[in-house]
Amino acid sequence: MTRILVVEDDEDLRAVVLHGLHTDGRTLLEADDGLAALTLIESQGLPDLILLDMNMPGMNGWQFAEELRARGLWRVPVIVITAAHDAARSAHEIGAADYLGKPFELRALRSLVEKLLARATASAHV
Amino acid sequence: MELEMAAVLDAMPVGVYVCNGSGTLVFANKTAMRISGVSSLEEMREKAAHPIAPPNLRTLDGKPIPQSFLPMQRALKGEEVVYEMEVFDSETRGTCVLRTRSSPVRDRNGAIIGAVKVAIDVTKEHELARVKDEFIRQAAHELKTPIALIKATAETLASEEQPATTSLAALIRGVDRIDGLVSSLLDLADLEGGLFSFSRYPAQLERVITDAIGRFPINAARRVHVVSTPIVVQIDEARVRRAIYAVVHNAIKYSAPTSTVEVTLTREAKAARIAVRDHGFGIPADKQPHVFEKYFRAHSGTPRDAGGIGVGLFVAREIIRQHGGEIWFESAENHGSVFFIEMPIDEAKTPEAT
Repeated sequence: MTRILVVEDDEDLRAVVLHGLHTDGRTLLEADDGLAALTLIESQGLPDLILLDMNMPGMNGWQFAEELRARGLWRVPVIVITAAHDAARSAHEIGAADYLGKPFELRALRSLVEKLLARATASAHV
Repeated sequence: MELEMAAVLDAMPVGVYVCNGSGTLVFANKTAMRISGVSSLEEMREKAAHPIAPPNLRTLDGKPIPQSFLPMQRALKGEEVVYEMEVFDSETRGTCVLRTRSSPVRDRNGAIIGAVKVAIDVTKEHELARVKDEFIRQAAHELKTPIALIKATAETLASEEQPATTSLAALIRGVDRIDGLVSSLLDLADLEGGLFSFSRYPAQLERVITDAIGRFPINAARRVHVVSTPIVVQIDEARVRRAIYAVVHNAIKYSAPTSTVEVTLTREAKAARIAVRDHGFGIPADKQPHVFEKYFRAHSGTPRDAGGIGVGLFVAREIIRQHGGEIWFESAENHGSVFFIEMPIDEAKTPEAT
């Protein structure tokens, strides 16, 4: 079972992303801020991929990345999802695997997710 | 004559500095002293505020400026120097931004005997421009999430044979949120330009509250409990709805996702009163006086920063005041806030017919 964690504070957007990524053989997890995501990871283990919004109340994306690194858990691909003109910079700042600017196409999100999951699987089998 | 001249110069709203041929400061008017945060010429000569040879003058991007490049030094060599921005650090006032013009002073024969600098303090304007730039950036940023929501939802709908009503509802909420943000921007622009005009008609306040809450996502809306009584008021419905939305939105944003928000509509002596109570973070005492200021966001840059453009409550207050009402709050840090909106009921004009 592949597990994807969606960290996004906007309830509506989170729902539509979860819906868009839903397929058989996938477990989708959700958190509305970095702290909720961290708690979820600590209780259920690391997912295979994380989608991360940057501007969130509570623990934001930068702090979440820092916390994850501090715990030695920065071992999964992270896709940054934030306003288009900030996405590349934010992804670079936290050292994310990739990024997608808002607004994005679900199709583009799906193919990016599949690409990163395939890459992670390939490197796991080397 | 010299005394009269000094009085004239002191009365000017611009700073005037004069140096002699060897570059020594010999005169500064009252405004110049105020700009530099000093009370005498001697003090000005000694301090960092020295307009002729300041020790740590730098450009806006922080680069040091060599003494020979300074406007007064150049003016002494016969140059007319106009600077749009000149920054210096005053011990008493902090960083000042000036718009300056420096010119040589010549005798009858045209020989340079000194230089004069005229400076306008544009620190406030500069700060306002920075705040506006930041505001525009923040507003554009805020629009991206509902736009992303609409785009992704529309894409979902396009791929479904039987469009789900939940997707359609999310789509409509996304459009409503953008509309709300854009309307707030327009209200703000109208307020600034003195173009704010109202169209008031009788409306059931109860329904206006329900409409405002209906614009939040399902789980957020579920947290809001309404207790109301039927009251008809003469209002600009769309604007009052935005004011109520802004207050409830803050209550939702600045409290735990599991806590409730209580909205009660009651009839006072001659007014309708809406109370919005949350059990959230509260507003720190030192931030409370600024809550209704334009662009102010009490939790900006803190872990509680939930985004926003800092105009919701500012516009809300203007809207409520234009209705002859008032908006105020009671808050204690970590104990939540209660916001009150009160609008007069004109019994003569609005009989409770329905």
